[in-house]
Amino acid sequence: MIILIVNAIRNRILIIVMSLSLLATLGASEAPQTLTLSHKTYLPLTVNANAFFYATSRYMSTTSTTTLQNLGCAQGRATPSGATALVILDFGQPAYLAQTGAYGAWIFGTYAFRSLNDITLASEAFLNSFYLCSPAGAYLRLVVGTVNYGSDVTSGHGAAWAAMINNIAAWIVEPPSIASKVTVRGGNDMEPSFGAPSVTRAWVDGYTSVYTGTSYLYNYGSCDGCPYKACTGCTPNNGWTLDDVWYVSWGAKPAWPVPEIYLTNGVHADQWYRMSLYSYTQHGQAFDFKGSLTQWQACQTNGPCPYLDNTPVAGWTQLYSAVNADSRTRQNLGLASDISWGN
Amino acid sequence: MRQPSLRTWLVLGILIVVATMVMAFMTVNLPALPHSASLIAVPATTSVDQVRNATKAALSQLEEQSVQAARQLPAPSAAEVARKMKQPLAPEAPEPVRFVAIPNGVRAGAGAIVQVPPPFSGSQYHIENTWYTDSADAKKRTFAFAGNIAGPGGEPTSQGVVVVQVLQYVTTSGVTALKMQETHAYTSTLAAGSLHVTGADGMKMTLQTSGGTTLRFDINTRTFSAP
Repeated sequence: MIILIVNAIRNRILIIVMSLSLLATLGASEAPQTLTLSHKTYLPLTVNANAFFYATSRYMSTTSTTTLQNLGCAQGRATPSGATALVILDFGQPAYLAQTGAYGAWIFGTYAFRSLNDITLASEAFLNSFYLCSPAGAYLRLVVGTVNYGSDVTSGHGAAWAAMINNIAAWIVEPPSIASKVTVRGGNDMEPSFGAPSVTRAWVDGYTSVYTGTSYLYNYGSCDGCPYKACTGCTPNNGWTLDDVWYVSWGAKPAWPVPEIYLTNGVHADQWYRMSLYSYTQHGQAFDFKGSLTQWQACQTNGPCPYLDNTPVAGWTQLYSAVNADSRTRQNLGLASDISWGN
Repeated sequence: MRQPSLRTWLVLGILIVVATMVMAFMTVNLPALPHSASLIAVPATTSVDQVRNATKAALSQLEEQSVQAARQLPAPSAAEVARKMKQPLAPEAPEPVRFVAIPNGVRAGAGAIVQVPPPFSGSQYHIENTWYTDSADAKKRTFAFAGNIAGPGGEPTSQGVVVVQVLQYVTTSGVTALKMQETHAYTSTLAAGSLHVTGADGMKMTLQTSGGTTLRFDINTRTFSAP
């Protein structure tokens, strides 16, 4: 009887805390929160929204080094000492100019061509400026990304992208080294609806054939059509299989998942928990998520996004709760990031 | 209403204190769970999986170790780091102040039909193709992304949609920047399948549904009509 009463009181207090936390998160400005990450959590999980840190990722419509310096500095100032910022810079659709043999991307907005050199300089400007503007003890994991859309999603482009990431990584440690505060990864927004599994896997294989060191590949895409609680028999869109999603998120050697957790009803978290469980049951090892991605800021300017505007804390919490409810997939979830259209 | 007795208040107070103590004891420090916790060896289905799983565990450890080691490195001065930005090998691409035609577009009416990645996740809309038109001064671009609204799990549905997005170059204090002016979704009145742009007449797009129906969408009035 006492236990029942205690549970009832505890649950009511938890509901109040969660509600206040979510209310505190709503209306957040584009600048990320800046308070220190708490290392303590309560069971069942309640995240203290006032101590939850997330970084701002961006869809890129420019490669201007001046703009990227400003963005890097803003993120540096917003990252507290001891925190790690996971920032994805998505430069758009893969591009290949046959007449010059140049690889690059068609950036968002204008869909203008930008070469790998342009993207390299933009990324280095962001990294350098973060280093200069951030406090001691702050750390940046920068993901330089593209998408699996279009006719230039090829193994050649994947290989070229990996080579670019390797070059940026080498530049970071080149004296004077800024490696004490920054690191770089490759990335791709791989979504079943964007492109066929065969070409996407080919792009990943191209990347895998060239990457070195810790120039890993983060998949910050989706699992559209994938199974979830109300549709356990669903299959991924566009002819993909669960094994295709598994391969580009984990099966390929350098691949790691940072999934989109957009839906406020928890379906995306459930889909990715089930993908991790698939990895465990079919291949003997669950996913190791490097973090979660939401689009709350993007929805403020590019929305509305009904039901797809999870706040960063809600998205991260949903994924954490989903994977830790099962001993086969439990893990200490990585970083949180929220994407914006602001450049 | 009868007031609770002193004994009742005392019992409630004790319960609240007990509840608080229970919650305090339930506080846990999660760092005991490293990233590699899920990489605990379990029987794999194939030898390929065994090798892969061992490799993944090693790579995860390498990443953690390299980050920890890097954070211990000496920090160069701000002046040294500021000089680190190398001169571009080739001139940096100038930022445009007007729109230029998107490559591989097919002229249609007052614009062109293109295949470009939509600015939405596949969890929100499934876009089949896009029609766009530019203003006479090439400073304003209107996109019309055609497709269907994604279902609850991201699956395609039969609800067609045209998502209109307007971008514009705006000059403020002598600085020109690209700004998003508007994004709005328009659902077709007939849930007759996904929409695909097949042509245009001036500012009126022609759309074919996956169910075989032809519709028109007027960009100016943002309305659907029969052909």
